Amino acid sequence: MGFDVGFALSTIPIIVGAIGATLFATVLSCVGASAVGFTFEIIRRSGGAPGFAVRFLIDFIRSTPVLAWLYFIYFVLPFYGIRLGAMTVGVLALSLYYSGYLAEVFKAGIDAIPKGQQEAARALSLSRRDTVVFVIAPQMLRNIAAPLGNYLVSILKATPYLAVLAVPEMLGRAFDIASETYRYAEPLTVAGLLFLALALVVSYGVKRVEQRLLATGRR
Amino acid sequence: MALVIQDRPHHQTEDCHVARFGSVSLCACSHPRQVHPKKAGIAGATITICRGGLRRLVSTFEIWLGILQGVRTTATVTAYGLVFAVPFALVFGIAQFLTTGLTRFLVTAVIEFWRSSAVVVLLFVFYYVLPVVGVTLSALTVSALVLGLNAGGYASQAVRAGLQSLPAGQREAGMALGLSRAQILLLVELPQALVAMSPTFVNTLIQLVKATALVSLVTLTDMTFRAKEIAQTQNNPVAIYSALLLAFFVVCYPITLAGRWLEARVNVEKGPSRGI
Repeated sequence: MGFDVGFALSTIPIIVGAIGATLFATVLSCVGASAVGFTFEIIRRSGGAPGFAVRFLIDFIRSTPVLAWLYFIYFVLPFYGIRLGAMTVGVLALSLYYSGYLAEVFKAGIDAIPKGQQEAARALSLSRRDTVVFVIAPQMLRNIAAPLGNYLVSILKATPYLAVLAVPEMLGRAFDIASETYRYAEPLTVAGLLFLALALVVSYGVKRVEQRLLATGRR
Repeated sequence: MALVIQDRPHHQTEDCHVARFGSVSLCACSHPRQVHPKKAGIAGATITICRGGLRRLVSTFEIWLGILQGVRTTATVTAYGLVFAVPFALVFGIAQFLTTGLTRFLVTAVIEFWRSSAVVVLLFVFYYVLPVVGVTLSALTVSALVLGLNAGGYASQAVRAGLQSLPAGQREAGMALGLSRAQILLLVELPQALVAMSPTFVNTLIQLVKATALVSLVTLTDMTFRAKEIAQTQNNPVAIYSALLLAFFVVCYPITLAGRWLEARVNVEKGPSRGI
């Protein structure tokens, strides 16, 4: 049966139509992972039992595959009576998984801030919360822009995992076409090329933003 | 006081071992409110202490052992993956470092194809497209090829970055000693670059092990596949998927620790005393 180029071309509009779901999952997971990762890092820094627990949790997350987390959240939550849509479960799993990596990014970003900044904040008797919000976070943002951008691309490349839960993103849509027509090669090739193109475009954009930030951020 | 272990089913639904201490019978089962008045044999004095917690722990452990049966496939795919990853990383990393112009563009294009594609999609594309174009490979070979070259793409960037970050004096000193370009690369540059980048390679290895979870989607019986098999016979998702996470943790965490140890050593060697 050979590779039918005409059929492959005809699947492009259908698969491109699902780009919204892919980008939606990417952006939401990135925001979620940043929020959870930053919280993890703050708890880890404050030390004590919670800090130790979070340190272990981060190591645990980083030693386990995202697919296992997807299954875990997808099957365990309904067992406790929590029913969520596949997209929500997918975003939750990606957020949790990448929070373990982003916590490390935030750690490096905070470590790069000179110690005098925190000491000065304390000398001005700023509260711990104010120190984080007004002193640490703004300076950290510039430090983390580059690695954060790289993880945005990583998350984009992890969104096809959601097809396993039948989320209608690009790979999921490709599988829909495949199961309707019994032709797998063409839609999957199209999806593969589209993901490659999307990843290259996003990483180019990230690089541009990064250069702009570095250029304006210099004191 | 006699201890009698009864081995026969006393619940309608499942077998359960009853230990009888005189008039007290201990039952380790997961039916906390179900009392079985007649089986203990002593009228009116039956106290059933159910230990659902212990039972659950035992069954989670059993599930975990069941999942670990898939570790062989996980290890096999990882090992074959390395067979593709290591040569690819070395050849293409060095090629990207040495070449210029059009050749470098082509080398970069190959690396970017493997590195920038989503590995999930890549695996499915190769699994379904190769047979159509007349190449028949086993699921294991396709998985190892795709996962390996994807990891190799990442590692090639570490090889190139490691070579680029060496001071130019290293190569110049090699030239002054009359070494050929190949000798400089093999004897001077590569050993330093590979040692400096070894923590990155360990991270890539962990990514590779974790990516093998994907092979469960192309019918290979790895740990993830085993978990799904067990899930078909037992309605216990909490235990099954916790056990799956734990199984991967047990495999990957030692590699993480080894990576940290390596990183500490590499950093020590980078310290101020070096070269004095």
